[in-house]
Amino acid sequence: MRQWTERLKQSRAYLYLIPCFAVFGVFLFYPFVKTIYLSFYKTDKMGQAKLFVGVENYTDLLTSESFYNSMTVTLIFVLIVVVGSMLLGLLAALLCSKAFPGIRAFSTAYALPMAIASSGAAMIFKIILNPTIGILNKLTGLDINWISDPKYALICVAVLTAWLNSGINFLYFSAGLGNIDDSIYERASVDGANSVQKFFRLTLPGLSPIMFYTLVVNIIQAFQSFGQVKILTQGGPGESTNLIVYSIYRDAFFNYRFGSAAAQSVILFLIIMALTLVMFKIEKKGVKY
Amino acid sequence: MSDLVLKNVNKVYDRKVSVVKDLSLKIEDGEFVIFVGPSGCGKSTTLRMIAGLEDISSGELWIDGQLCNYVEPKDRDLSMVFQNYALYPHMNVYDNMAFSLSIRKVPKKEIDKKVHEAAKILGIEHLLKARPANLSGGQKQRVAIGSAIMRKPKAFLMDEPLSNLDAKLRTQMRVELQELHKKLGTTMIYVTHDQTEAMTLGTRIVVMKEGRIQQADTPEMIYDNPANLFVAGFIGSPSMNFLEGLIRREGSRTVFETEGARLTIPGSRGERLGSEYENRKIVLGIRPEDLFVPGKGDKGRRAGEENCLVGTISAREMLGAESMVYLTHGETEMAARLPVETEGSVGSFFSVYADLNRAHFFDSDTEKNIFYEGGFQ
Repeated sequence: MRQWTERLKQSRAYLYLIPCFAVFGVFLFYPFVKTIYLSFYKTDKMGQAKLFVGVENYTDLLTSESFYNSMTVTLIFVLIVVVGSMLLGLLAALLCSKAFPGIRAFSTAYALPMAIASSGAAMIFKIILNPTIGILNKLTGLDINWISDPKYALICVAVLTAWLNSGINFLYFSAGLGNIDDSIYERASVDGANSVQKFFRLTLPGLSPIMFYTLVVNIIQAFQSFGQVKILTQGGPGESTNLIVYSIYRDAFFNYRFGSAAAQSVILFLIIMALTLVMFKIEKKGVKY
Repeated sequence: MSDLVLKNVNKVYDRKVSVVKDLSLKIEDGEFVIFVGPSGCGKSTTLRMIAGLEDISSGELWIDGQLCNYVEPKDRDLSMVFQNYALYPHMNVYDNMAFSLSIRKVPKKEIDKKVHEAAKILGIEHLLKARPANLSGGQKQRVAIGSAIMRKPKAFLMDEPLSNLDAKLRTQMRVELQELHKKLGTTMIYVTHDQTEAMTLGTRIVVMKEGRIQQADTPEMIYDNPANLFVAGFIGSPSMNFLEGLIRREGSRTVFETEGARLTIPGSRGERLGSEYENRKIVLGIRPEDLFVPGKGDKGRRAGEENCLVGTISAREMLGAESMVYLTHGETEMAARLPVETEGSVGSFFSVYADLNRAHFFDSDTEKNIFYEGGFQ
């Protein structure tokens, strides 16, 4: 009898975990497993698995030019976004680390992009970049069809995304800068260091732990960008902005090739996981402190 | 030669709070100058103004004959040790020490030689690869000093470098700092609130209070010839006893009349007090070691009715070689440094005698030492 009550007591702990597992299960685990499952099937228009084809979806992808284009575009995009958003965030955080009147207004302005929905920002950019009425062409006096020109479309989407992501980076870097003891800067000034030396020898190494974290988050975030492509370019012109996530969306909901879309999702997942693992390996060696 | 001159220097924060007031001081090459005073007296601010970490609100700072008010800290050629040591957390000890040279692009070989030299002087050679986070307080302090002595700056500035160490280590580091000063011969400007550090380290002590210099003189002069009541009370541990009373003339004698005691002030000082301060209030200051009881340890001093103070023993402290006896009489409290074998238990009535030749007299109104002998500033 006593054993039973003991067991009951112990199993009660699992009861408390049910809500959490239920949410994860419905929105994370089930879709994840289902995606892997679908990636081995050909589906009907409703996305129901119809015909088991083994790894055919994968081999099709790996021989498809469109998929390679998607990968290349995505990599270029990620590179621009990550570098751009981190530089923007770092620059803003450095500017705001000094005390001067109105600093709060500036801080809010720099952090704001993270509160803006990507599709909303894309709508605004669509107007800014409009070749006839857009303010960018008006101000620069250029006559470029930003979004419709394959040369510029990807850059436009990437810059927009970099700006959107810079808000959260600004917060990360501000926190990181706040953690650096002011007195080491004072010592460095007396030691004879100029501001460039202070930046490269104290600020950057001091930021390295948070820099690493920010880098990982940014790369993952950049790989998953969708809203801005959907609104701004729909993957075009041609396939020049057909990022992998957009390509998944297009395959699934335009071409009704859920199997192929699922296979791409799995590949994207593997890439992000591999990158993250590699970076954590590097972190153990490289990040100072 | 690196002279350092402060001329009427003021520091005002937010146009309201004045922290350093009209400070003038000349520091000669090779001096070991100690700024001492209670918290908030402006001593650290003064040091930071010399370093260039704080702007000088008004006044002039001359280093080596060059006006330095607007010279960047990096161009002043000074070295500073901070209270929290300010080691670069991501660099190991070697790189911390090498920092000031490597940013000057000194050849690596030379840096290596100097780092090892300094590490040897301070006994931290085995720590060169360690990160600051893994060092103890004393080791960090050595690294901070080591980093400071890598160059030969015009002056070393030290902001309470020993305050985070335990008592034993502090005493040891004090000795080492003194030796270092002798070895290097460079000017040192040192800030502390610990008067023992000030007395033992400095060739000159600058006592500050509320942003003003109270007295700047050698440790001996500060101790034996304090300029005012504040300096007299601040320097010395336990601090000087103060008795408030009236000056009376009784025939040829000058008598200091206080609660429960009538002390006759001897010699020319008595005469001057008698003529200038008759029937006026003054403060008599006497150090604990200038109180005695007849017998062993009275150093031949004469005990009599004219220099007798009485009170009840409120506490006794055994210090080893001697003991401190605390007396109360009415409102007055006194401490006496007496031989261990002195009798008298807590609560008992006690007589102690004052060596009035070594007493100090302060004007009640101005708080200045009536017999203060000049001194240099």
